[in-house]
Amino acid sequence: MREPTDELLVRGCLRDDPRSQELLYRRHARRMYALCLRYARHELEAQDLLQEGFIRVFEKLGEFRMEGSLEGWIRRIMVNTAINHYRRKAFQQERFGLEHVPEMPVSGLAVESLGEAELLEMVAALPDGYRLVFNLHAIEGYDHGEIAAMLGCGESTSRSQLAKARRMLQQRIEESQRIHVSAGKTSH
Amino acid sequence: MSAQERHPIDELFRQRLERAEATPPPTVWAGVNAARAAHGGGRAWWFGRLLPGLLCLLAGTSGVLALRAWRVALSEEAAILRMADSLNDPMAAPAEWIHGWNTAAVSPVKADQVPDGATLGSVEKTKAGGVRSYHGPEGSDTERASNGPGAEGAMGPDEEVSEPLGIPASSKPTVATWPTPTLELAGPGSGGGVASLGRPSARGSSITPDQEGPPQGAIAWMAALRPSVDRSMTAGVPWSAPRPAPYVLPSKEWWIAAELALFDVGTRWRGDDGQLVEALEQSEARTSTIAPGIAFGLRWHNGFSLSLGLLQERSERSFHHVDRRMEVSHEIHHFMVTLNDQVIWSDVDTVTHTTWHERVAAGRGSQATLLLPAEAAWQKALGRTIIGVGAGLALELPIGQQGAMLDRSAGDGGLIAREVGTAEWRARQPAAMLGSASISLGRQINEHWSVHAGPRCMVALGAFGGSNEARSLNDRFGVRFGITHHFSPKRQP
Repeated sequence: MREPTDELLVRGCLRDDPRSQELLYRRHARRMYALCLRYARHELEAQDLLQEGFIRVFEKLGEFRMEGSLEGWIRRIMVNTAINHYRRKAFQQERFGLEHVPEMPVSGLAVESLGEAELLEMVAALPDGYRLVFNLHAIEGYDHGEIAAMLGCGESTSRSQLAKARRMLQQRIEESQRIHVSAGKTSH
Repeated sequence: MSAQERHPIDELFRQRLERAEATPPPTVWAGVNAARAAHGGGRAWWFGRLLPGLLCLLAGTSGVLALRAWRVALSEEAAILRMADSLNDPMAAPAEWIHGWNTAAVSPVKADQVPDGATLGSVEKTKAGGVRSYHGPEGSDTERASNGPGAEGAMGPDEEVSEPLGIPASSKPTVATWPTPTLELAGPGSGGGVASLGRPSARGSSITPDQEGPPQGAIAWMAALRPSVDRSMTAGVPWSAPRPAPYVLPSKEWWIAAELALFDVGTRWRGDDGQLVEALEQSEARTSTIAPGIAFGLRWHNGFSLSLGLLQERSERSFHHVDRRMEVSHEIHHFMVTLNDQVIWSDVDTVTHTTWHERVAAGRGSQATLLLPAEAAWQKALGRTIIGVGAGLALELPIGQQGAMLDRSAGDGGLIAREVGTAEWRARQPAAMLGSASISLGRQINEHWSVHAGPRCMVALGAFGGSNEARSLNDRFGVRFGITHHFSPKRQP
């Protein structure tokens, strides 16, 4: 059977058709859950973000103009939900003593050996501010001006948080690489 | 920003994670549904769709009934006018009202009743008071000036036609004026077999008091003609129409009503299990219900009314609860520094691990309930507008439940969403006694029908039995619409 288009689904949802609502959820939930996992500290928080995000999606669906991609529009709502979630908390600049770690290029071996789950874990392990800025800049593609406006902080703060996030991730990747290398040597 | 400009770390994560997918647990969708229902998804449905529909239905019904009442009033008024008119115009009145008029003797003439040798021609009236052309039996055309309306006692050419029928002029009613009727009589000699009866001439002597025939046709003619008659004919005519019985205000009347109530239902929980009761209070959303039903009662002349009703209500309840539990464990670590079997330093350290467990319990259950309200009310009629207040008691009887409810897990004692059977539902949602109060604003459409609407609340006073752990008490606030039929009171002669 042919899958209904996004436009049909949106129209069905606007009519409060439960089947269309469920189809729309099922079509986009997997990708949006992965997005929420990147922004959340753990799975439960990601589930809360996903739930809150989809509630807002259904509430604001009437505002979707059918002009751009529905997935892009939902993704934007999810990101905003995550930002609002962390904005409610006291947003503090964490200091983890990483300033001394130099930025180094990442080796190809490390890239290949890491799976999605490990990368997600690394991102989730970042402090809230680092994680938020890193996700917004590195994956969503926002520049520092936009991030500063969204988070209500200065551009310099955004830049420094991103730099620290990168250093932290780089450190984690190197640790992971060492473990892989040592595991390889042990097996030989 | 191009890929070359990107930082390698950014590029690595973007490539691997931008299109990543993960399967969320099914509780998320249940939670979305429950939260949407809790935030007024259901309420918006009836406020957005059903309420305007109901208002349209009520407005339509009221309009139809009002139109009918208006028509009835018009026809009654017309009947009264006709009756009054007939006092001066016995030709327009029903035959039985006309004193001394033998309707059986009034009949139109038929062609086969024309005697042999009668001089029969056709009469055509061109215009009132104008020129009549008379076609004689030999085909001779004669033009005569008619006397026209107002020429009392004058005879026209059609009289000459009627004379051969043997009706003496003295036996005919004295017709002073007439409108523009046409009587066409076609005799055997003129090719027609039957007299065609168009708009007849009142003056035409086709009315033969001694002839037998269907009287209704003649009466219909007379009714259509409505000629003015010499007032002397009806002067002193006694009124013989039956008069309606005088109206006696009834002391009481029975009524029956179809009602529709829209309630916003909130639940209070009571029970010994404080944690469960608190979780139920916080996790359950208010629900909106639609309760159609009937009511009947007795209303006295002084406005006091007693009624009994039956409403059936169907509701869906959703809940969303996050069960948070803290697990604390302690580890004791012994540290010893030894030298040649001798302990030179020792220490004991206790490490406490605190773990928070979060579990989402969400679900939905549906319930059907019967409400039996008994109400005493007082109503005041201001013209056709009726205002009223009422209060009473109502019995709430759950008759069917299904779905999930928040309950304790048999394993770890935490709170989970669980499908339960009817017995457990009944224990949670027992029968209850409610106190009810209402205000109504109504409109009397006619003697038998009225519509009303107004706010109504039903607050739970207590439950009959139920679980000791947790049991619910439901409070309802909403509006009701109704249409009432008032039975005809007995009229005394």
